[in-house]
Amino acid sequence: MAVNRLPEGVSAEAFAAACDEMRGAVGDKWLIRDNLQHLNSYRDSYTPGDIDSNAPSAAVAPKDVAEIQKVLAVARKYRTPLWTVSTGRNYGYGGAAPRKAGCIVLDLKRMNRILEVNEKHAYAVVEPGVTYHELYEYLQRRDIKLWADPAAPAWGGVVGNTADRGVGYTPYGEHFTVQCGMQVVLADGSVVETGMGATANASTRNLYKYGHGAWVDGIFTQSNFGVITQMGVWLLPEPPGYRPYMVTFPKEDDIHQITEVVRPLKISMLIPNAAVTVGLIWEAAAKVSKSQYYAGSGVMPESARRKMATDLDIGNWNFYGALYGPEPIMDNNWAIIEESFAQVPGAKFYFAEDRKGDAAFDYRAKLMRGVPNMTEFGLLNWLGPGSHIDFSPMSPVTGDGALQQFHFMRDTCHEYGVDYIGEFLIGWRDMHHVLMLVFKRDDEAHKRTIKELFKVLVGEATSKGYGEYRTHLDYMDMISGTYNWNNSALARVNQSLKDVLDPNGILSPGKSGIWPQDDRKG
Amino acid sequence: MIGRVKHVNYRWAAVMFVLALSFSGCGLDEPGEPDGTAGEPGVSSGVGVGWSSWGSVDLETLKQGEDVYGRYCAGCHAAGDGHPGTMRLAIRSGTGKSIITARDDLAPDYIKMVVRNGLGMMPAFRPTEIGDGELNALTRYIVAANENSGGEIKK
Repeated sequence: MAVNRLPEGVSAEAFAAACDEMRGAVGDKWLIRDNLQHLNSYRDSYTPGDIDSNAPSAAVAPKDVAEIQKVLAVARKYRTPLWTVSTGRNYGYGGAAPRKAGCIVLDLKRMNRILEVNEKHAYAVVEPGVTYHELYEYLQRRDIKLWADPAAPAWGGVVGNTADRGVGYTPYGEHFTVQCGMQVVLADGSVVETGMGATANASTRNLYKYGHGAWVDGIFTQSNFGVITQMGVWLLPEPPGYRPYMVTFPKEDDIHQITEVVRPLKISMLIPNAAVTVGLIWEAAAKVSKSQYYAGSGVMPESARRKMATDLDIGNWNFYGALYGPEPIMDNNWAIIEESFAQVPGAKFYFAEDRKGDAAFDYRAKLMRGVPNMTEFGLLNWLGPGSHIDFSPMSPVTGDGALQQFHFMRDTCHEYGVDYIGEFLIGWRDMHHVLMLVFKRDDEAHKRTIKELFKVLVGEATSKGYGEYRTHLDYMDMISGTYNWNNSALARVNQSLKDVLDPNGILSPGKSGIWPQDDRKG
Repeated sequence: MIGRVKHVNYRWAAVMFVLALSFSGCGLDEPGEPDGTAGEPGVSSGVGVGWSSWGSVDLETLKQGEDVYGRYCAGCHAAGDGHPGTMRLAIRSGTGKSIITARDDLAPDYIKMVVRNGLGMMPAFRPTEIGDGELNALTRYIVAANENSGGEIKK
């Protein structure tokens, strides 16, 4: 059988031998190479770049740690680089595709066991293949009154999203914050339990994060130092009451005052969940597409934006939060929240009963109580059958920061004829400012525009002191290059760790800009 | 109180389909290869055309297909607002063809091709997510739902 592609620097003979041995380790069916339809399903069809530049040579799907160890042994022997994915649904960031063409995808989707749900202490331990949807269903079927915090698309994976430091919308929306306990297979095949899991007969593995000494869980996120095979995640006990709400604001520059109002409410946890301030188009795109309001090319004109806002009864900004708890606590908190937001002229307040049949409110209301769904994926309908990458700088929770970011991102987008589709996701003391760059998958010129725009945005953000929290495969080197303080001291730490933990460079080369020694020489 | 995600119940449609097969004397044969398609790629030339040699289907397969549909398809393709796939298809082909469990023109090969390759904004699904056997069951489930004019809209 002709080989579709080879890993760089690996001969056809060595690759064939590696595939044969990996096939022996996992079984015929789970070494995917010759069935091109199967293999092609690992490509990043959402890339704005050249799909071949991230195309794998093969995929291997072990079912357990023992099979992973065998696969790693083969990879070490033949120096065939692997690219680890869990559910492989990290779309916008690369999906299941590797940073570098020719890598063999180490697909952990088959490891999909929910190993434990502890109702007393409110946590779950899962394998990498478990999706948010699957964990939710598991809890529902057993009537377990615990919430897992999902990423916006339900098909995302608990381990993968947490390891990529993704976010959700309940009070447990900062996923890595509520991670506790990790099992990792290192490149040499050894298995490590982190934190309390490293003690004999560990009784607090998933209750206390840090153990004793250096706490290493963080180095296995957004990195390529090991293969996470188990993770503990804390679950939120279902509160006795839940009231999602929405506050709309009429003007674009209201983002300044909104953000100033939100900061003390978030820091004091009167707003306990990962709340969002959603821009007009993001809010609208769950329900309508651009062509319904504007048939021309380029940026949607103000008149069309106004009509859309009026039709949908939404603002230029739309804040979503939720009240949780017994009725008196919710009532008390709401009085403070309402009074605070009412300082912004034109603020309008809505609860679920005011937004019946509103798909956007509905999916936000689901996400803030941990019900996974796919509605946000509908943003890709904005331009037609679309795709996206995200530009996501971190912002302080300040009016000045939010307004400055919004202005330069909106204005730069408009210079390129691209609509600003953004939201601020508010953590305790930070905001993920997510700009969704939607493009048509079949329009090469539009893709080129998006790529150019992205680079300009990175440059502007860097010059203003903003760094991105996460990025697509094609921009990992670019973004990691902006974390360059003191002659790239942080990058050198990562390289040192890489060289020690994975001297053969077999694990996810190039993830987050971390390359093995051989790749750095070029 | 906080409720569950609403599950649309297709089961009656599947059961009715199997009953119909039983009464018409069909056996529970192993499925053959799907028929080819006529006209434009992947789209059958008419209702009921081309399915006859595809063999019959047992309830277990339909249940498996329903399970796959619930896990991987319904989030985008169920009826009602907030489902991006249904929204996309309504824009592209009109509301009459927007719900994949209530169409009359989806040939088995076409369904499989779309699942494995993706289409438009829909990405491909890998064999570790939906195995070939599961894809067969899913295809049979969608076809069965289609032949019952779609459990969803009748409901």
